[in-house]
Amino acid sequence: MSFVSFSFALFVAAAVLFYYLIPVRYRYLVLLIFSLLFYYLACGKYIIYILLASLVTYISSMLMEKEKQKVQVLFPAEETAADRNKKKEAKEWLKKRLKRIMIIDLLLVFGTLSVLKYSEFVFANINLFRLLFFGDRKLRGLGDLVLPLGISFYTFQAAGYIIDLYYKRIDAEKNPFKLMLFVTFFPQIIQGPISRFKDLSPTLFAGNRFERENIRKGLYYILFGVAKKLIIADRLSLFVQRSSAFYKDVNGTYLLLTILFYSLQLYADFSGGINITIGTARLFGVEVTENFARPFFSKSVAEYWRRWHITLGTWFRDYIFYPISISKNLMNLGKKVSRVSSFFGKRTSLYTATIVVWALTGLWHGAEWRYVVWGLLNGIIMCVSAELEPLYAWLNRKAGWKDDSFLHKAFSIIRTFLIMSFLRIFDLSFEGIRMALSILKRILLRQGGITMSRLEELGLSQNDLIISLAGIALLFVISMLQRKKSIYERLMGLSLPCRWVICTLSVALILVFGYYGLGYSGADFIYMQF
Amino acid sequence: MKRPIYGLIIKSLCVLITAWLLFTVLDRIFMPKYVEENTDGNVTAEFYRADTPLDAVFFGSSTVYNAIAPDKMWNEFGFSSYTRASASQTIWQSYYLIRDTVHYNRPKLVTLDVSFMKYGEDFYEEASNRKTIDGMKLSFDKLMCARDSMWEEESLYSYAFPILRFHSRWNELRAEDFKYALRRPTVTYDGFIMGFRNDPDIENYEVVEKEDYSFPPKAAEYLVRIMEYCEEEDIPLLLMKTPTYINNWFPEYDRQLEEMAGKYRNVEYVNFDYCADIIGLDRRADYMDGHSHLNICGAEKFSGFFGKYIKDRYGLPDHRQDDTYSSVWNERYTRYCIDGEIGKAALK
Amino acid sequence: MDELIDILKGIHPEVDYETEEALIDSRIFDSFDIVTLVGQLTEEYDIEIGPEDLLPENFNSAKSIYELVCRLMEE
Repeated sequence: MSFVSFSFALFVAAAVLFYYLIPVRYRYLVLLIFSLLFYYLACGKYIIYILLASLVTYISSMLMEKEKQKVQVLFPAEETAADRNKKKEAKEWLKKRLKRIMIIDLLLVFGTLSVLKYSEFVFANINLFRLLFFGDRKLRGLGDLVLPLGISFYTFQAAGYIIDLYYKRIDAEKNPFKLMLFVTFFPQIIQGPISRFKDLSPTLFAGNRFERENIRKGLYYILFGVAKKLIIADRLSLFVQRSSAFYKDVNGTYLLLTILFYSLQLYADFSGGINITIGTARLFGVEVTENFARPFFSKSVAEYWRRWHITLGTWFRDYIFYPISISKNLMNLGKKVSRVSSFFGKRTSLYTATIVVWALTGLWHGAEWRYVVWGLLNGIIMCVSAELEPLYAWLNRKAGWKDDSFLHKAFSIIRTFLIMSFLRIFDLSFEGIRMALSILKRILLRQGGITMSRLEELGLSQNDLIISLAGIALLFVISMLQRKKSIYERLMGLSLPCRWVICTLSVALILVFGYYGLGYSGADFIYMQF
Repeated sequence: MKRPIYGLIIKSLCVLITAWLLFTVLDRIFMPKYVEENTDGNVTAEFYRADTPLDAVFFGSSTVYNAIAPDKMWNEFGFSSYTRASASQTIWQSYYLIRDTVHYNRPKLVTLDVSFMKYGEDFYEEASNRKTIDGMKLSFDKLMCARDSMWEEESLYSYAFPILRFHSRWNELRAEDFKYALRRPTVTYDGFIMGFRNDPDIENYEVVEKEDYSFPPKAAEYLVRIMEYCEEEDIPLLLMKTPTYINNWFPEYDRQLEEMAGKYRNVEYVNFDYCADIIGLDRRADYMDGHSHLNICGAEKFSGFFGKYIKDRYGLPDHRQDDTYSSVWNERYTRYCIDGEIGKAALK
Repeated sequence: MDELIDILKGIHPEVDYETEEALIDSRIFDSFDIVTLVGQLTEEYDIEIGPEDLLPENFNSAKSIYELVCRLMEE
């Protein structure tokens, strides 16, 4: 069931109706039932995976809770309060127990993810290795495994919950149905965001009372998301797909256009989807974390990643980057390196962690080497630009540029956008790294002319081009407006008739200029004769 | 406590009304108008403009709307009728159109052309779906008709809200789309479409023998539903075959249809192909489109014959002395004559 | 405390640590800075900072960092 479909609209409408008809204390159950139904409709029997993930998470959390109670019996409060060593001992004991449970849990949930998503990749690489060194490639792998919907998202969300429990940042949820709802909540199952238990649970589990504000805000968000997806993203997608598929037959200028449009398409699609997610959740009064903060206005790659797919970035930061970078082992390694060179010593843990995180981020996006390369490039660019910062500062001082001058800002923003667009070549190159390099080479060396008829062959007619550009311009203006105040607040500041007109117009624009329906796939029929 | 609920209801109603208005306006602008060309696209809708009760309504594919002229029959025989045929109207579409027709203007006789009995499940033309169905008023029958006619890529919603299909016409909109958005002029002659072409060459069309002459299940199923429906509603049904000169009809079909019709009290089957000589149809002058349709000359001959047949056979009344009828129908006949003569002059 | 301010100055010299109370929330310190800081704190004060201590509220101001260091030194 796609987000932008009548069936989804009806599904949500039914869910909203039931939600507010049921007594407050059972409302979360309505969400759970509809979430499971949604998953079942999308995946059928593969719902078993998400159910198992919820179950494993619940059992682990309850075991951890048990250990937390046990420690209070074994080390009574009076004793630990008086004796600092005793307190430390209790803490160590608990930590060890909790760690064991956490590791088993993570092995199970990430194990499932690895087998389903990465086994093919691993076997292919083992076979490559065998081919290189032994001249055969016999391992057959597990065959084509079905990747359950949203597994990368719900696995990370469930794992985050357990890790938070281990760090005692949250209390365990004792109601298994509520926990299952946290893992399966349908608006965010397709494309995230990866919510934190602390952020999502209060509004998710409370039976929210009917408030017009929630409905209104939800609908506005959905409208905005649908507009982004239908007017911009879907219109550009055919061109991006085709021109990257025919990359050998088009010159570098088309490919340059392709990667720029791909960035915009991806943003419109992904952020539009997130708008729909947030809006849908909002209809139930549930508050889902924002996943984008106008990323194309970032002045550096590092900043970009704090503003694009925010929840994935913070997940990796909190659960991988920090634990690795400040781990005792890496810190000690850093000290050892320091004896040889203090420059490298200071950076050992930082950069090791960065590289690991970005290799994993790459793998998260897909089980292929090109994604790993893409992730690593991101990491390397961040490390390099951190090192170059003094140089930039020196250059700016010498040239008399001010950090906050408009030109300097614009330059940084455009540079970042271009870097990110070029990196995405790896994302686009479905044939692998070689294709990515070939596209890059063509963009750099084979620039040429562009004709409208060729663009149309590639799936972008003149009209589509005009609408896409107009849509992007509008999106840009809206983003600029959002700088100080969200567009929603701005709208609410207008008078009712004004809002009414804007809303009606937006719906009309989506209906007319949306890229959907037969008119865009079948030949236009009106001239057919009988 | 009560006030907020009222406010909510009023606001929701406002939203619904705005949405409805928006869809209506957009539908009206974006739907093809079929006024300056492809006027057959208006046959389904103009049925609702019959200003008097109808004595007979004729269903079938394009052969029918090119062959049966209600205005001409009014003038000669005095009964009121409408040709609710459409391009490639399949048997299942005829079924729903008959139901729709009976619901709005119950006729004393229904006739159905059986040419499309040859086409079943795998017959599909989006454009004819649109021309046939879009003109129907929104009803359960319309949606069912769409559901049974649709191909996988089509969406049922787009039949309820045509803007979902036609929005891609935004760059093809012409003056006529706005001019006729609110009200389209009447472009058919009570469902009859005048053909002003002819095929003077006599070709001998090749006869392609078939291995199996049984009707496709979907067509057969809906023919049975039509016959049962007419029986239930107590409306006589005439299954007929409009004369054409292409040799794609076989006696095996006649035999099966006679057998099927024979099972019902008020259904009969007549193949007018066999009457072509009695009617006086001239292969050189009266046909068009590769002898698959009658042109205006052929249609006038056929309407004269066919009108007399159904009037005598089914005892259709003569309203020519009735003012409520004649005030409407005489005017229509005049329009028909003027436009017909202009066209016929051009044909010669 | 002064020692701590010196360390902080070494990372972001332009910040006024006496008054700033949103080092994390207003994104003055990014994750690289945090890791650098943690590295220096562990070395300087011989303490162990674990991932569980890396909460925004512990690092938002010089004062809260100081409190964290004191608490960890006690343990």
